[in-house]
Amino acid sequence: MRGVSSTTTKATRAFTNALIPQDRNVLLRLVGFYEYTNALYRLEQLLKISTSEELIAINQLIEERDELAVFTNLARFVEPENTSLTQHGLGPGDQFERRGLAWVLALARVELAMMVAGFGTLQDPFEAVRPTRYEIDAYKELILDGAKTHYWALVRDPSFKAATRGSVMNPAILAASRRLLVARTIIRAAMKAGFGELSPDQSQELAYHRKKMDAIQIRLYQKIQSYLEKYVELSSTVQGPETRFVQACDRLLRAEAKERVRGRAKITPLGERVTKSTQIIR
Amino acid sequence: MSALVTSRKCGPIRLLLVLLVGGCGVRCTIRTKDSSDRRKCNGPWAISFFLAKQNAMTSFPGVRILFGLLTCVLIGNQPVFAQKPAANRKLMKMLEEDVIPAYNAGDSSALLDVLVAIVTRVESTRLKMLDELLEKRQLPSLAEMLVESRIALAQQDEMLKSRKPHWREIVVALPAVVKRVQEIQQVAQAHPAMSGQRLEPKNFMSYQELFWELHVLEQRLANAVRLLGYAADLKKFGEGVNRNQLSDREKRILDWDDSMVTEELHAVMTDLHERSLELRLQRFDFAFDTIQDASEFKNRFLAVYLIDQDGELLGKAFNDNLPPKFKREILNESGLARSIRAKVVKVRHEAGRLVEQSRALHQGLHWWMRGRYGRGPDGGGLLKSTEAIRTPAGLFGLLMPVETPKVTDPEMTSMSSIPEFRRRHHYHWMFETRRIQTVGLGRKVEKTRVVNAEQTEIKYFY
Repeated sequence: MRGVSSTTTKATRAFTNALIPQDRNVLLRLVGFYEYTNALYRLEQLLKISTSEELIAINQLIEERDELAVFTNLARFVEPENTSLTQHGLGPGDQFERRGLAWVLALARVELAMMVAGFGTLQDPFEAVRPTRYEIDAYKELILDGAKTHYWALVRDPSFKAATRGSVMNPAILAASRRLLVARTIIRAAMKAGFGELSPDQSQELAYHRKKMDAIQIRLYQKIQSYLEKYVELSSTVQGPETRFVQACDRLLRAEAKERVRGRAKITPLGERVTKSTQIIR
Repeated sequence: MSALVTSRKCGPIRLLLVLLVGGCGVRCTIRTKDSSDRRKCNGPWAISFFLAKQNAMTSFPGVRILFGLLTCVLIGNQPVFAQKPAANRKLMKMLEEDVIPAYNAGDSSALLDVLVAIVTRVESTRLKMLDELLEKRQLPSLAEMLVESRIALAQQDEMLKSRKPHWREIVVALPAVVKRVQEIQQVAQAHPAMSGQRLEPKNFMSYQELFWELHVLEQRLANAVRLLGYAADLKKFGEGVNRNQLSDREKRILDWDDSMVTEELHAVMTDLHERSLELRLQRFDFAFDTIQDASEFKNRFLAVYLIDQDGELLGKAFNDNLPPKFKREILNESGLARSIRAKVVKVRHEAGRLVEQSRALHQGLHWWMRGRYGRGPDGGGLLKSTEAIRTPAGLFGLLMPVETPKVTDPEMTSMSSIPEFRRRHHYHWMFETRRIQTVGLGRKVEKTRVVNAEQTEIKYFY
C-alpha cells in the first residue's frame, strides 16, 4: 500500500480501536477520517521533535503552498449581520484566508471530531482530538465558525423544517436528527473552547443556540419514539397476555379484533400455551 | 371544480355521480365510511378507489363484477392510459424507497441491485417515464446511475461474479467503460512529462508539483487497468447471449476486441514509470547538490527529505547486478544503484534529526491533502465504497485532483469551489443509511449494514 508506513497504520489502529465496531464501520467509509487521523499523527510527531525556530521555518514552507490554505468565517454566508458572534477581519481587506501549520492541524482536528460526533458514540469527540498550544487559537476559531455555520444553516433551511414535520418513515428525518446532533456537539465544543474568553453576550447567544437545538432534537426524538411506541398500543388491544406472537399486518389485526368484539371469532391457542407477554419487534 | 363523494352506501345515485365526475377527469375527494381513509385523486383513479372501497364493503358478487367491468371500460377509454403506460405504484415505490435513497446514501452495491431489477424487467417506455421523474428531481437517469454504480464497483474490485450482468446491461455499460479507459489514457499521454523532451524544473516546488501530477496519473492508469479487466469480464458474460435477439449495434459492442486497448494502455504505463524514474533521478541529483551549498533551514529541510525518499525508491528500482531492462538509456547506466546508496547514507548521517522531521511533515501533509481533496466513489465523493471496511486497498483508494489544487475564495461564487467541500462536516450528516420500516404488525428501526439507528437515536440524549 503506497504512502502508508507501519507506524501510521499502528496509530490509526489505536485511534480506531477506541471506537466501537459499528462506529468504525461507518467512519472508515467517510473520506477524511482515515486520512486526517494519519495526518494528525504525523504532524503531532513533528510538533514534538521540533524547536520553535524550526517550526517557524516549517510554517513558512506551508504558507507558501496554495493548496494548504484554509478559508475561515464561512458562517458569514448564512448568519445574520451584527450578532454578538459575528467575526470581523484582522484588518481591512482581510479575505479570511489563513495559512500555516496551525490551520492545517486545526482543520484536521475539527473535521475528525465532527465525523466522530455524527457517526460515532464517543461522548465528547472534541476531547479525543484535543489541540496543542501551538494551534489552539486556530482551533477555537474554526470551532466557533463551524458552530455558527451549522446553527444558521439549519434554522434557515426549509428542507430541514419539512423533514422534521414529515413522516417518520422518511429517511430524511433521521438525517435531520443527525444534523442536529452534529450541530449541538460543535456548539457545545465552541462553548467549552471559548469558556472565559467569550463576552457575556457571546456566551449567551451560544447558549441560546444550544438550547434551541436541544429543544428541536427532543421534539424530533419524541416524534420518532412515539411512532415506534404506537406499535405497543396496537398489539395490546389485539393480543392478550398469553397469546402467541402473531406476525400480521395492522389492518388484519384490527379486523380480527372487531370480529372478536362482535363475538364472531375467538382465539384458540395452537399447541403449548405461552405464558410470556407479547413479544415486540423493535 | 371538486366533488366530495362519501361512499357510505353503494346506491345507484352515488355510483352514477362518481362515474360522471370521475369519468370527466375531475378531481375528487373520496372518503370511506369511517373516515379512516381519505384521499384526493383524479378522474379514473377516483373511480377505481371508490369501486375498490365499495367492493370491499359490498357482499353481492354481481355488483362486484359490474363495478370491475365499468372500471375497465372507463380506465381503458381514458386517452392518457391508452397512449402512455403509467409508472405503476410498485415502480414508483422502488424509485422512492430504493433507488433514490441508495443513490443519496452512495451505496453503489444496493443501487446496482435495484437498478438491475428495474432495467431488465421494465419496458423502455416506462423507463423513460422514470427518467423524466428523476430529471425533475435533478437526478441522473437510470442508465447513468447504472453505469456509474457498475464502474464504482469495478473500481472497488467488487466481485463481478456475484452479480452477473444481463446482456442489456452489458450493452449499456461496456461502451461507457471503454470510453472511460480511453479518456484516462489520453490524459496521461497529453501530459508534458510524456512528450519525450527533458524537463528541467527550477526548484523543489516545481518538482513537487510535477511529481504530484505524475502520481495522480499513475493512480488513474491503475484504475484504467482495473476498468479494462472489468470490461473484459463484461464481454465474457456477453458471449453466451443468443445473438438472434441482438441488433447490429449490440453485436458490434459484444464483439469488441480489447487486445489493442490493453496493449496501448500498458505501453503508456511503462513509459510513465520510466519517465518518473528519470525525473526522480534528476531531482535526487538536484537535492544532493543543494544540500552541499544550502545553509538555509528551509532548503536543507526539503533537500534532506527528497534525498531520503527518492533514494529509497531509486534504490529499489535499480540493481547493478541485473542486466539493463529500461528503454531509456540513462536508467541503464552502470553503478547507478551503488552511487545512489552512498549518497543517501552520507546525507542521513549528516542530517540527523532533520530526516525524521522532514518525513513527519511530508507524510502528514500528504495525508492531509488526501483528506482535504480526496473524493470517494460513493456519496457524491464524500464516501468510500463498502470495501473500505473490508480491505486496506478499499480504505486507501481515493480519487485525487489531476492538478495541484489552488484553494478558491468562497466569496467568488462564480468559480467552482476548491476544495469541493470546504468543510466535510457541513455535508456528512446527509449520509443516511438508517431507515424506519414497518415490519409485520410492528415497526422497527432497521439495522442496516452500518449501525443500529435506534441505539444511536437514544444516545443523543445522554
